[in-house]
Amino acid sequence: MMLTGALALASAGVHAATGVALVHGTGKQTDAYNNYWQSDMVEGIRKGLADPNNLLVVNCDFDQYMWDDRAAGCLAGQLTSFIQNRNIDRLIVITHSNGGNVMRWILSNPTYDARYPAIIQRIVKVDAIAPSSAGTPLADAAIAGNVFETSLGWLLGYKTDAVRQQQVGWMATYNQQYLLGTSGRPALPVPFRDVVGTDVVSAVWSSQAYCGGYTQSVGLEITQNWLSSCSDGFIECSSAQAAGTLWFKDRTRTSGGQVLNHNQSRRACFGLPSILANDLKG
Amino acid sequence: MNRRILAAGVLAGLFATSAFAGTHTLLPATPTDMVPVALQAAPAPMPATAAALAGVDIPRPHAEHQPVSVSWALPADAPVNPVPQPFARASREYWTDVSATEMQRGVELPLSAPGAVIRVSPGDPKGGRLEATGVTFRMNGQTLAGDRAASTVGDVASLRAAGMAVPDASLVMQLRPELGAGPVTLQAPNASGRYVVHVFEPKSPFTVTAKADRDDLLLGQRLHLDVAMKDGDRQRPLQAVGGFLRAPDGSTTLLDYHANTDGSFSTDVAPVQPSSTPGLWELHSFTIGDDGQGHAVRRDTTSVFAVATPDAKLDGTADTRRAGRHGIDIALGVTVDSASRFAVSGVLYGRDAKGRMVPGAFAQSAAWLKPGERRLVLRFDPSSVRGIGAPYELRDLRLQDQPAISLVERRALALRFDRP
Repeated sequence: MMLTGALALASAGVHAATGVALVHGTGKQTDAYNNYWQSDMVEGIRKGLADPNNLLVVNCDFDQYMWDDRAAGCLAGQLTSFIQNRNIDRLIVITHSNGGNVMRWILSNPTYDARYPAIIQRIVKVDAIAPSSAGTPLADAAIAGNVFETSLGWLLGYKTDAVRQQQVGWMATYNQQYLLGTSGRPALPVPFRDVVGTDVVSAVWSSQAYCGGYTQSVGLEITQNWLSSCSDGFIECSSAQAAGTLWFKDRTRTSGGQVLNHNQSRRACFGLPSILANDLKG
Repeated sequence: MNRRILAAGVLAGLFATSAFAGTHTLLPATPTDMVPVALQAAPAPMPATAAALAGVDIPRPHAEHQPVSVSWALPADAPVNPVPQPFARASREYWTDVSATEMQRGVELPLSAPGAVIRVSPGDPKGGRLEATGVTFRMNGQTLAGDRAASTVGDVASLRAAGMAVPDASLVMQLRPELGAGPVTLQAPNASGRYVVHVFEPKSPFTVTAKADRDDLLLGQRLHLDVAMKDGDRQRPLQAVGGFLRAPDGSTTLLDYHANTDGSFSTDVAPVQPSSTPGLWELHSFTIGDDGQGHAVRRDTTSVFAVATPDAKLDGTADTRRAGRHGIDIALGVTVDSASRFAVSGVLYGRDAKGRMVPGAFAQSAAWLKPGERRLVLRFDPSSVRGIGAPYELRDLRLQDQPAISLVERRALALRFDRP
């Protein structure tokens, strides 16, 4: 591989290593280890590393547009420091939800920031769990009312550019204008492998509904009205598969053929950490 | 597939004007291409200090100054479609904003199907908060409290836990299907302040779709929008359509729609004022029709598109050369009006071993360019073009102003050449 860019390995002959970076979804995170992924998930993934220290949990402000310096810029900074500090030459990035969009911005716009090419060179694959690659109708439903709220001068505490960006029409436009990897657009420089949640179990008598926390059944009953029959409760299957290639749909790999709702796909549910850990070796 | 990526930090060749073997002119633009005619100065971004003083958290795009060039091989069996396809989605929902007085008196909401989902969001989350027991629905001769009329009631916590980022103090109720359709009156005696009422009818056969003829344009160019209503697969006439254009910085422009003979409505928009912040533009259309039986059907729909200030353009010149044994450099002339970081990207097609024209590689190069006649060089690394040979075509050629997050030029087929 030819490289004359901003980043070179610390010195010739240095033993380099495999590393994994966990990239959270929408939200401004300062402790994603505990608040987004939780310990069981992170430590389960760590088991797949020869050197358990080569794991990074990213903390960035993903309430912003993907291209904002507080989003993609922050992610690039943390990945660059991780690569340099740990001599990583084989990086696997695991993203969840909107984190896949921020990662895809970096992969699709490699000249936008001089740090990007050196990061891309070290990525062997992105495992994108439930990426909102084509947006979600729930973002449209939540934000369209803000048209009125904006015109009325209302200030909403829960309005973010990240939600605006994940409207279906916005992602369709971004996919055609600035992002790669969707149908008809040039392929991404590295494999972008989708993990797709296909259904939601919220019945109170089902133990499956309780993994990751049982807090959503009432909300899901309502939000499912906006989604197609194949969805994880937040992302439709078609959106999760819109960019890159399908790695697997939940039932085909999870223990007991269980489905992964959008919350469960970032938690230690139904053998997911082991699936991801085993993938670090491949 | 070879996915090796070439990255060059400081590129001596980026501005080179010599040693290029072939001199070419870009192919004429087609009607679906987007090519600036005249250049305009880029708008000054809103200063961060001014935004902070105004209490506005503006987006912060990156402004890189270091030249960067990359390329990678593409799968030969995945052809690139260089013409963006405008996105359109069928709407089954509408929004309305109402005052406390109107809510106390009763707000009539037309429903075209059973099982509607109704969200009420107060402008003042503290003073305007409503409970399902504190609202009533009056329809088809009966009056029911919200908790009796709804099969499901969702609050902010449950909806946000399910991924729906509703505003503070929102109340969502899905009406019981047996209540039927037709006009319903929503009443809240204890209402305070203003409210947004959002009505979504997941089971309704009545949809409205707004189709634009493009999803990107340059300032001064025109976008045409057609708005039509359907009952299942059959088109139904709309009675009235209104709407406005919303720029990324929040500024709005009211629009006029005209009726067409088939019952649809149309409007044309041609933004002339740039937005002070990056982002996409939205065209909001609000429609009224009927179900053919005297009941009103309301629908709102949003169209999204990109608008760029043409602050640079390709000047039509392209020089090619062999880079190393198998690499290819393509130097493209760029006329710059306003200093910024510009990126050029393209897909190199060539003939494969079976004689088919296939995509071979993607390349992108970017540098900070000052006003004047400049150059950017697409550098296709030898490893990225190993699978293709002459004749070559440069397709999906794009010029972007990166800090503005804007696409200022796009050509589906830009260049043909035999020997670099």
